[in-house]
Amino acid sequence: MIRARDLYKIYRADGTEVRALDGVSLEIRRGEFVAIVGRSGAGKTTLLSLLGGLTRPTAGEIHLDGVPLQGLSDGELSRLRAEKIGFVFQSAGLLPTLTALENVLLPGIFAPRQSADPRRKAQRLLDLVGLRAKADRLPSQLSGGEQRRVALARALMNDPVLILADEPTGDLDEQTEGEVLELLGGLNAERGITLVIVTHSPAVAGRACRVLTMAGGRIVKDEPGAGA
Amino acid sequence: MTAFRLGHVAVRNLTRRPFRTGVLLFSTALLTCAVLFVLSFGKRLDTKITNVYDRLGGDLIIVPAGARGAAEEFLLENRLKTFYMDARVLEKVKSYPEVARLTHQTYLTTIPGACCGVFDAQVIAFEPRTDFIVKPWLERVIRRDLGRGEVILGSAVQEFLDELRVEEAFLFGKSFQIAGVLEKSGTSLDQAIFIREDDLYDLVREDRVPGDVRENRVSIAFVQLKRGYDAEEVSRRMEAELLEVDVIPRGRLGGVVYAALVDVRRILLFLVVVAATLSVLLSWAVFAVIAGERKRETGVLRALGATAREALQLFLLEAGLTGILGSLIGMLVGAYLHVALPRRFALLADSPPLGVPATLLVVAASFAAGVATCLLGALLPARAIVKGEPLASLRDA
Repeated sequence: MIRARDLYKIYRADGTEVRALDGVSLEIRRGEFVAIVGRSGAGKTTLLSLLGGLTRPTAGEIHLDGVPLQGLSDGELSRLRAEKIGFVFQSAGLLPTLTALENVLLPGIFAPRQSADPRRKAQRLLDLVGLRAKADRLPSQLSGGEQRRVALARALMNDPVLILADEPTGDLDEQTEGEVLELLGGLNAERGITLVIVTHSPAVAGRACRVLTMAGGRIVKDEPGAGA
Repeated sequence: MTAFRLGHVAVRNLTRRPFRTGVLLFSTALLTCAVLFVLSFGKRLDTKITNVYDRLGGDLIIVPAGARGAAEEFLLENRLKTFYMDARVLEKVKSYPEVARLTHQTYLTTIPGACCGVFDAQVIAFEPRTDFIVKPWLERVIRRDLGRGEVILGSAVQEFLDELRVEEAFLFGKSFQIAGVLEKSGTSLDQAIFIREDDLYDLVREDRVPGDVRENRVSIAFVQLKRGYDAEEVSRRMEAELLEVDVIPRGRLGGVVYAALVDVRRILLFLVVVAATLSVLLSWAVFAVIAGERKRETGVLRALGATAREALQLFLLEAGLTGILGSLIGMLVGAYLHVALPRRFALLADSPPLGVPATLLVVAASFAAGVATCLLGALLPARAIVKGEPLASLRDA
């Protein structure tokens, strides 16, 4: 599914060089639930962004489903993201002017293949995350957990094979975190979607079938999780 | 059910900040309105000048010395004026080898009550044998020469008579048959009543005409030069040699007035350029703020699969929609001003409406100006925000 080799990401600012990633190599198989853990600044989000084509490595190669990301143009990368990857961000990242339903519909605009009835599909996805009744609410009218669930429904709109989530339960209470994790776990188990989650939460890491620990821009530990 | 498209997002974004959107709409409307008014003002002025020149038909206009201003006031500003010169001077004019044709007219104003109810009009008597000014209009309107005891009316005079429901004109107590009506020109000639010179002399002989009109006096003469002669040069020579007349080349008619108006138009155009620049800057400032506020949203859109082009498209859609709506509002206000304001300009009063091509040109230019300023202003900040990597937008916000 994902094969990354010798990934380096170096930022240069004001004459200072920061090695966010320092020679990371990894393979993730289809249907795996991988948690990336580590302290702040360890390079977790950078790695996740590289895997999702949100940024390019300073050096190294990434293959997604056999496609070398480094060889794609910006437009091709965008299309690949629209077609294969669903993102869930730390703060949900919903567009504040759009309703829950419209936020779920949003990725459909950019998908190379449009669903026959996007609205019905978006409603089904809201149903899946238990928010059909709140389809017409704006994000400001939803709780943090509900926003995260809308973001999850949005990530599923284009039937991705891979979901990349950055701290999806970061600021949620224990019960809401459990609900979101339940959903994520279900997607992985029932739909076979590959999940890569960056997290500080032991609960999230505890559900993953594989846990990668990062420090100083490197993967220092790669071990099976409790969900394996 | 309608498909969800980028346009929906753009509309939602615009309604998110009504005050900001309102300011942009207002500035765009103001600019469009100004462009529309200035362009239509200029076009109407050009039409008016062309109409006057077309109606006058001669290369040189000869009036009594010192009456140049009065002639211009009558011909250009619709003010009724009379002035007279000795007809013998025309023999001297005719003796110039450059002169191909010469005709003259005599002006007299009607007195309220003496003619046509209370309507003030300028009676213009022309000499049918030599005339080449009125003849082309007669051919268009009545397809024959004007007979004795007949008048041909300017459009404004006819409108007045229509209101009174009369079918004959009484000039200085004498009845005249109305042979026809001239089409509206937006010039002083709309207020004119044309009669034959011999009819005028009958009125003079019958002592019906007040004032200085005599058989040997005329008001104005029109000269057509032989081909190849320069009107400016001939007029300069005539004016130097014939001290009793002012000689105006047709193109110089109203020279001072038009020079001032051309300057006014230039000033207005300059102000429009300034307004357009300010409008672009305002749009730039507003979209720079919007771009800053929505940096993270742009990153999210890119992560969801939007290409840089689509993300840019969203900004430009918002700018374009604002431009279109603002321009439409501006055009409505501009159209109102276009109709209402010329009444306050003596030179443009009663000028005929712009033709369809000119109207379309003015409308298209003002609409384009409004939309273009919004798009131009939005382009720079929008490009800056979408050109980076999605991660940078997600992180820097």
